[in-house]
Amino acid sequence: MIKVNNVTAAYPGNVSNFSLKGISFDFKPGERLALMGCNGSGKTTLIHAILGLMPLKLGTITVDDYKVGPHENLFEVRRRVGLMFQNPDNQMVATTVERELAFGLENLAVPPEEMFYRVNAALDRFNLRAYATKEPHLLSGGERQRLALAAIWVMHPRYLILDEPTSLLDPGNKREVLRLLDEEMGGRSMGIMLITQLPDEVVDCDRVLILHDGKLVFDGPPDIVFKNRQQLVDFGIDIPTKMKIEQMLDGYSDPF
Amino acid sequence: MIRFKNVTFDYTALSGRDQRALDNISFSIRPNELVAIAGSAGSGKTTLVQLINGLLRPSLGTVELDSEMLDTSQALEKALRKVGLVFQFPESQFFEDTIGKEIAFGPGNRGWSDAKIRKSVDLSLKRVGFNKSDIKDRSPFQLSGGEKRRIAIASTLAMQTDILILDEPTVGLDRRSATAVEEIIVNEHARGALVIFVTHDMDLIVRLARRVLVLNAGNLVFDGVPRQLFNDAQMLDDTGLEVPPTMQILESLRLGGRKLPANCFCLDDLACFLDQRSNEEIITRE
Repeated sequence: MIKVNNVTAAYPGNVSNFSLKGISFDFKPGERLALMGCNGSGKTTLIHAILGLMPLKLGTITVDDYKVGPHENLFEVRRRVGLMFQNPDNQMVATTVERELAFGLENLAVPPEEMFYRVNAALDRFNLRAYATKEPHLLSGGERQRLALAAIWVMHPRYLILDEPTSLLDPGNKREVLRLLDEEMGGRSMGIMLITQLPDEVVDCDRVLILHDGKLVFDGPPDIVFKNRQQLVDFGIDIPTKMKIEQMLDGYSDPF
Repeated sequence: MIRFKNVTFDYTALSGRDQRALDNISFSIRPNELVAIAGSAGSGKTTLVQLINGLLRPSLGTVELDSEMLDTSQALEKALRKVGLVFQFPESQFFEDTIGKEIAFGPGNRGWSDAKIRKSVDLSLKRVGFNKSDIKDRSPFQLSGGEKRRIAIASTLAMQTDILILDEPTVGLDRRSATAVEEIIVNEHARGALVIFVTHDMDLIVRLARRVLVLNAGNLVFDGVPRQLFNDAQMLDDTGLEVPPTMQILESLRLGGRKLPANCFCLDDLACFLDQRSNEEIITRE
């Protein structure tokens, strides 16, 4: 379990303006969380804190009982928590698709036979076999996003954090990435935290967390959180289209 | 007026690889149209846009801007002055230390007088919703994501072009900021500009565009009104696009037995329908 306990943090040099203010929540393997908040609300800072990239002023974060700190347990924390950026180009390091998949495993010192097995499984499951020896930058945007997802999958993290994974994709690739998330990631009791601006993407999540001005202002199931429509609008957050339509149809009876 | 006549574009000369990005495309866009360009990744959208402002030249065929062919260096330079292009994530290209200087950069390159530049900077700030001019002294890097996007758009508006093209203008923005950007698009169109935007957001196309061009593997496969496109399931399937999410939900409600009209494409349509219904009820009661 990831435990975020009363966390307050500020960027170095910014003493008075805290980016995170007294945040607490738990995140279990197998759970699917959505993290929402308008631009500048602290979402990225929170992710940095969980990965030990951000010193805390107050509070603690633990990942499976390993305390997170700038110089503590980084290996244990980061092998458990996978992070995928919005733009896959920010995380491609190797010269071929195969090597890209093996890169993380080499760093984790996974034995060669096991590495071979996992890379091959990833090539099949993420439909990348045809590109195994190609350079990652020659792949299309959707293919690169699949590769980024596969490169995290091979490392078997317990938690996966995705920063707007579909915002740059066309509808077809978007569906494919969401399907892979459901089938390959969700199926393995991995905890998934989806950072998104799109309320329609979070309706199937177990919980939605909403950050506003560095504070955690909502934490609950989507159908309950999104009932606070006016407050959410004030925080710059939209509600799912389906709920909007239900509200519009509330009181409208079909003609007979 | 933009006119493409049998335009083909190959990246072969640039990349050394045999890569045809656009294949024999013809269309024209009149002044003051509001047009969306859609298509799956790699379909040729960005190439098309860069041919309009002269960043790329066709391998075959011709591109005309206001009846002038873009085939000489003078014509291409003119095109750059006529077409304002807002790239994807334009805020990643900020480099000046104040917002005023950032927006003045483009006009300054055109050799305008200081007075003209100042006026243009103030005007474009207003057009993107910043009414106080003291913002000019702030650093663009201190703004929120949505504000940065609006400043980036202002720096293109400041060059006072007749044509405005935006590549994925709302991507990565929260709802409030995305709405602000949508308003800028609507206002620029209302002011008389020819506006083109590239997007993967089908709901955005229904809300804003009067016309949509769909590219698929370098071919122009659809040119018409959005509602016609979204009624063509085969076309959507072939091109990797989808029915707008709002329309999908309305359709599932209809399948579930709700009596809603089939021509509801967006929430505005539904609101109109519900208004009409309640008016009819009032009339019946009277």
